[in-house]
Amino acid sequence: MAKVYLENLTKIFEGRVLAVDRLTLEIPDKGLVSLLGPSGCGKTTTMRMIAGLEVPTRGKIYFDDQEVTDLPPEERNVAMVFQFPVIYPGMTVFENIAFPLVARKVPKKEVKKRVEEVANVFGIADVLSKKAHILDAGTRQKVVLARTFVRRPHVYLLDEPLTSVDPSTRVELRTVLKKLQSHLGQTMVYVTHDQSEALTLADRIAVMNEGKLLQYGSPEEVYNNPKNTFVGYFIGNPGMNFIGCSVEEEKGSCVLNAEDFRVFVPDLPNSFLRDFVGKKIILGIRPENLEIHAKAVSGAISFLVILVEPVGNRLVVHLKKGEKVLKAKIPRQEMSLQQEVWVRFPLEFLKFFDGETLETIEV
Amino acid sequence: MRRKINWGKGVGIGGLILYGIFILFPIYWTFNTSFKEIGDVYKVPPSFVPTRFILDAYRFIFQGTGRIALLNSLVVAAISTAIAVVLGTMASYAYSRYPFTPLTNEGAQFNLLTVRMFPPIAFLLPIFWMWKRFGLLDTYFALIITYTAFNLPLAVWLLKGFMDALPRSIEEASYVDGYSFWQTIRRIVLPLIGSGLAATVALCWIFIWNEFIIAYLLGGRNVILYTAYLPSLRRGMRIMWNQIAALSVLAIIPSIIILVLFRKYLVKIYLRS
Amino acid sequence: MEEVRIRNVTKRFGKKVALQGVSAPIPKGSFFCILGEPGAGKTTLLRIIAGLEIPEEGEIFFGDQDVTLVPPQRRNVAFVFQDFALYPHMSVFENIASPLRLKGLSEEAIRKKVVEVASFLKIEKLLDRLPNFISGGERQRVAIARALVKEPTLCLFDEPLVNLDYKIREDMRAQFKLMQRELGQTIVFATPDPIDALSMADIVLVLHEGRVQQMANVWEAYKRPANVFVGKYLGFPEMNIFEGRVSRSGNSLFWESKGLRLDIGSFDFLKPYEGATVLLGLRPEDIRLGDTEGADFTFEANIVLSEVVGSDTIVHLSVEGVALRAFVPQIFRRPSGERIPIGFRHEDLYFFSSQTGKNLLLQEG
Repeated sequence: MAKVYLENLTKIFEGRVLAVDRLTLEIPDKGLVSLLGPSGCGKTTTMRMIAGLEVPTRGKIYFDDQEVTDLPPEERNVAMVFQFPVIYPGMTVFENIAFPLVARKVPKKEVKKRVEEVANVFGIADVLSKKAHILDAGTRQKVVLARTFVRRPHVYLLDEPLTSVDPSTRVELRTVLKKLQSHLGQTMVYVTHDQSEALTLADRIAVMNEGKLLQYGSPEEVYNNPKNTFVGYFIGNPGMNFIGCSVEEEKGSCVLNAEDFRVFVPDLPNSFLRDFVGKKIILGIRPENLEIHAKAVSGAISFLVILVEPVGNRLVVHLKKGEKVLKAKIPRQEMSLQQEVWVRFPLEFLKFFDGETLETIEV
Repeated sequence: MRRKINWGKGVGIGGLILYGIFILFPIYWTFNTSFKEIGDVYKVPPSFVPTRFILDAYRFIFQGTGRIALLNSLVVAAISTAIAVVLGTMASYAYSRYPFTPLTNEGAQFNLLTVRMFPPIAFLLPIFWMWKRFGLLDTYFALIITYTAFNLPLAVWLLKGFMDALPRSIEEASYVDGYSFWQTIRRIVLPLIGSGLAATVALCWIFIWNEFIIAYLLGGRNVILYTAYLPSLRRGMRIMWNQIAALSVLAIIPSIIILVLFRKYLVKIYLRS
Repeated sequence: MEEVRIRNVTKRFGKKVALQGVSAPIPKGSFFCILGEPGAGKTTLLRIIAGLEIPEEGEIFFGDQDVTLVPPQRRNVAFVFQDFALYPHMSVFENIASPLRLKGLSEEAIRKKVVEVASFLKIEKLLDRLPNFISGGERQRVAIARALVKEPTLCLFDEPLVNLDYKIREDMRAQFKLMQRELGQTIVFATPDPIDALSMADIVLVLHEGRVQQMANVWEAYKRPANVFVGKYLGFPEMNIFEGRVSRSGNSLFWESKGLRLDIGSFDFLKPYEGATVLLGLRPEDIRLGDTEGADFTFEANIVLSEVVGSDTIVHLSVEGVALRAFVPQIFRRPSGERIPIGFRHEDLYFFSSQTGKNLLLQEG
């Protein structure tokens, strides 16, 4: 078990493709950190550098206080699971799982004990004597995970290990991983493009895009207080609503002019928005925080309903005014297309982003 | 670290240069020989550059049977390639799109390929006797048909790969747009397998152009191909080195043209398999 | 008015039955959704409507005309393929213009129409590009433009959202619905995703193993599923299904399974099933977690896993050893093993026959 520290990690491929850009990140001991981002964001490259499969162009990697930047993978004591199950065909499940122990000359009795233990955890104790390659994909991935967790490396690296698994096995494996992590206190790095996976499993999420770390925090933090518009868009389904506005001053209070409508911000405490008068900002609000009224209420803006999407016992309502489209998530109710509704923007949920840098404006 | 890479690069480039010399030298030597006087051919040490350009050997080829042999080769190769590619396109379409009929199922497709798996010499004696019985030995017809028989499986196999890679839905989209079957073939299928057609043309052509045994056995008197003519330039003890070299140089030219024109497509085929 | 009528269509591929006796009227101007798992026969049905396949039995009518044997070229339908099937060697403009080229229009008229439909779909800037050099969402819009420019009787979509990134999918649904309303276009839309059906469709046809399970207004099918398959499939997450026995105790009826015991005395239609095994259905979104006020049934549950999905959470629970899923419309992360009260109401329960799978409530009436 170890703390992993990445310092200014940079990877440039073929002298020109910047895959990872000055990434500094601390993965706490016994923590489960998810590297989350769209494909090509550098998350897999980052993980391969931690594993030692890629040499960083610049920057350093530490396990606890030991620098491992130049160590080859076999000397780092890490374990890695790939997207598709890699098993040794022809070997039984038992032999597959025991392989890393046998390679390290662990006594036979101990091997048997540990293999059976881990097989129980993953629910594959009854197939131990079967040949691994005749099993279905989900079970094979369980074998691979069991083979990984039979060892006690400094850190476990998992690269989207559940994408090739059917949905019911996925739930089962998520439960097992979560349990393993909290009971055994393993340090895990979990790479995924699926925000749901990250939000379900991780203690902390590192959101990456275009090689850069955009935000690092707990799932709640990343969800509630996105540091920039990309994080707000990427996390959550549907993502945050963004409305480009210019800030104007009217009778002593601030008005956000979005062309198709205007949002009044009457009594913001010592309004920081005054600094932005005449400038462009982006107003952000999560769909579940918009207030929808069937009748006109003061301070509400009328919109037309263009789509009603049921999500469980909620509706995601797509609303349109002029060129602006918003999504609101509301309790299930009668709602018909082309119906006029009134939308209020509750002040406490408004987020503001700089119109140029797209970074959040601290209130 | 950086130094190591440069070393590797240096060794690589050096190796490539050596390899190039190794490959190109015989070609150069043929070229060189074709312009020499016969006396210079046997000179020791040999001259690496012709002292005088003598075109006698080329004159000999162009005035005699050599010209006819080259023209024959061109005609046979062109017609046979055309037939193989046209039939191959149709057959490969059927193989790719309707793989379950008795004529196009897996077994039939495998049967077709077996023709290419045996050495041509294994079939040649029966083929020879067949054409002899028909009284067609030593005709364009016999040569063209025989070459086509050997090339067709190759053409079908290559083109089927390209057809398979072409999603069926693209053709169906064209039907839904209102285009008939033949319009769809012309508008969609042929343009999209263009590089496959080019590569197939090149490979079929090269097979015929370089082939000796069939040319020698089935032709030779009325219809003589250059590959069959070449050995006849050895007259008893006298070997006409300059003429052989001149004919070889002329024979290389079409291949070079094909390689240059079709290089892009040939690489595609090799990458595919 | 009816645009298209499918009558008793059966299609086999070798021994495999793809469609079995499928009948359906498709009203003009409707958004008609064919919902089913992969392999249920959705694509085959679309292809039969388009004329790309000929059914062994049954007929297809366009208006009054039997078109069963009419080839696709002469049906005036448009088909948007799952892989979009754009012509890779033609520019976006030529792709969209393709159906117009046969109509003997002038070059100018063609250009006008293509630009019009391209600007409607906001792809007018891409007209000179080749399909391989634009994004997946743009490619889809090109395929839709090629379909619309034809002004077809019927526009067929074969799982058009499956190949798209889920972030794009979010917005595409609204675009589809807007487009359909603005043009009054009749759309037949095949999809495996119940959310597509629930958000866009007027009518849903649920297919399973080549047979129609239910055809109805989409919310009608959600509230009154014809059978257990429709109940499970038309909804996200899937309905919880439990098998249990109906028994009488005192003067009330009870439904029992392992440690679960529910008083179902108020369901008159269950009386004939006393002593029989019936399936109980409960939608995850109808289960209340934590606050159980107003619930008719309450239990203590163990949290197994809080699975966050988008901005929502599927909570996997265990009640007396019975596994069930609940849906919470927010991020709800709780440690495994925590105990939590759950509750649900009478009207949240569905009952299905354990033999036929039919909805017992509907069988009564």
